[in-house]
Amino acid sequence: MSANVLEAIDLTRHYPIAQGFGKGKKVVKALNGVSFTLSAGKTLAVVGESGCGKSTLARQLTLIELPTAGSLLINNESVTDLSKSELKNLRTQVQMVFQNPYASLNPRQTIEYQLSEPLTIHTNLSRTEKKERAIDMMRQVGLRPEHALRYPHMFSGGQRQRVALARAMMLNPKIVIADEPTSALDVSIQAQVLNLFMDLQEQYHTAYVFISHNLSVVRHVAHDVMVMYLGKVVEYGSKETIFEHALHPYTKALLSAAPTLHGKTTQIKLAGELPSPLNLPTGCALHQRCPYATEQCAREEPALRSFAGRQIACHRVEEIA
Amino acid sequence: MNHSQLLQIEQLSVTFGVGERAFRAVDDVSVSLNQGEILAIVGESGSGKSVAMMALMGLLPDSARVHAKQLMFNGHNLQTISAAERRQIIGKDISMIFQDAMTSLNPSFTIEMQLGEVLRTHLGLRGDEIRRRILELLDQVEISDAASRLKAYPHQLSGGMCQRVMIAMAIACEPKLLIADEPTTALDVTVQAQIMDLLQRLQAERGMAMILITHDLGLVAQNAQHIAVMYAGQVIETSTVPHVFQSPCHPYTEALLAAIPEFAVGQKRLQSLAGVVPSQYDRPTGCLLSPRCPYVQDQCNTPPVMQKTPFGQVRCIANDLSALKQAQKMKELV
Repeated sequence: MSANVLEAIDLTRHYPIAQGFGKGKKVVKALNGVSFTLSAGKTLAVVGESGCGKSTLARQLTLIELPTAGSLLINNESVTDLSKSELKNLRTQVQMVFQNPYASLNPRQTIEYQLSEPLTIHTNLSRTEKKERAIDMMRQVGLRPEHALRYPHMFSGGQRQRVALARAMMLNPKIVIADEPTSALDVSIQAQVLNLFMDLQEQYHTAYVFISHNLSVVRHVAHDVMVMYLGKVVEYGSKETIFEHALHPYTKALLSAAPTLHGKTTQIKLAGELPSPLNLPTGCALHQRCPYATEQCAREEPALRSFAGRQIACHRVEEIA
Repeated sequence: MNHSQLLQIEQLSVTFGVGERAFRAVDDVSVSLNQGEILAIVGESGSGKSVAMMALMGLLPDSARVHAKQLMFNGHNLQTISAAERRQIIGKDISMIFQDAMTSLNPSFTIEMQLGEVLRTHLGLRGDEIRRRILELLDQVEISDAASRLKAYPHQLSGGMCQRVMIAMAIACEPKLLIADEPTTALDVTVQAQIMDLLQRLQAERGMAMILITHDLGLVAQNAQHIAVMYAGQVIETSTVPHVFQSPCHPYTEALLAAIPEFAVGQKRLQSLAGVVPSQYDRPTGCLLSPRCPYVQDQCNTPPVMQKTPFGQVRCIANDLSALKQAQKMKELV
């Protein structure tokens, strides 16, 4: 088995928010003890609805923010006890592709400039070398060399996302975090971009953390799937286990809620909407919406445990399965 | 004309700008819809699906020039009626739900005021009747504890809740036709499922016709009976719903289906058409898909006309994909 390039242990991130003058502070518990491992050349998909902590997780993994508690190991180095300059070096290993390519590229800089900027910051290459590398990467993502001096507004959404991916790959990172990279794209363009993601992974052996709410996309790209709900992992296992035998009621509901082309499946419906992370429910976070909830679910919080080849957090999994 | 026919659009075109900069956003679109049916209009962004519906509603700015051979709704010719008559129909008999409920509601008015406005304007309700009807409507769209939500402003509600308010507003006057423009794109999947269930239930209960504008073919498969696929402003295929998935007749429809990851389970790569939708300035002469089409032939230089297929119409040189594939094979052999 190849070595882990990324390991998170009990990753937690809380944001204190002010309630107004003299009212003290409340805490948004965006991420509550998330653990996983990712090895080189593999893709971990993080699935969940808005507000479940997917993007907060991405912010921790890319070192944009440091976690409140827990530890994060990148290349077996713990990020919490590194100095600023060591962190800067580590950042070359983790790159990010954002959801909206209309917002993530600088409208005032040419594509070549944006692609060589990471090289300017992290390497001592000469201007011509940087240019060569930029053009080389553009070819690999399916852009033509004459595009180098164009500005982002001259490109379509799919092409912009190619630029964003090229920029992320410039430093040959070990890990790329992609936060909903295709949700702003049309389905035929999405297919082109997903193919590109997979081609690059094959070539560079990059590990991806692929954040998405589109389950058919996840099913296509992922090796492992982690389902999150309100900042916690509810089910985590290989793609096959999760998609073929989902056990957690939330995973089942997500799978059955996604419209498929083969007519209606038996749907497990969740009533209501996501509770506020300011005010987490007691016990299992899902119990107010779950059709299987019992009195125990409202009282005790289920721990993540191994069951049938996966990790799952549910009191009643034995009965449901 | 069929007596149950509710909407008939024939050769609708919408042009923005004049002279050399003229841009035809919608070109020769013909669709029709019977009472109680659901028609899905599918296409990528920029394919003209929303503009066509806005033209029908008369919501486009004056700079847009709308032409149609026929624009009939429920016996009214929408092109010739007066503005006053139009106001009687739009918002009452035809209503619309927009994609982004959060921004479509007015942020400075409570939902009671916004719902009340519809009831006052179109139904002439006054006083207590308004509140009673609003509570009824909120109840129908499954907003729990409706009475306490009356004084809420849109920012105090979640995205799914705002969309329910929009739906309540749209069905307030019992419309004959509801146009839903990507009603669930801004929502999470579990909430999307709730909203689609709600729309389907209301549609069935009231025998309302619905036009569902979407790019999600999964939603089409589960909700619609008829489909019109649009590409670069033109309807390129119309069909009925189970058939379009089994036997698409247009190369673009085929490609659109093949690009869905769900169809590629077990395959390494997704199939995709090379290139992008032609922009305003590089539209090819002839068939608009021809630069990207895998089956392109010499005849594709001239614009193809609509041809009959077993379940609808297709805008292509052949009315059958297998004929195209055959011709392609022959071409490769030569």
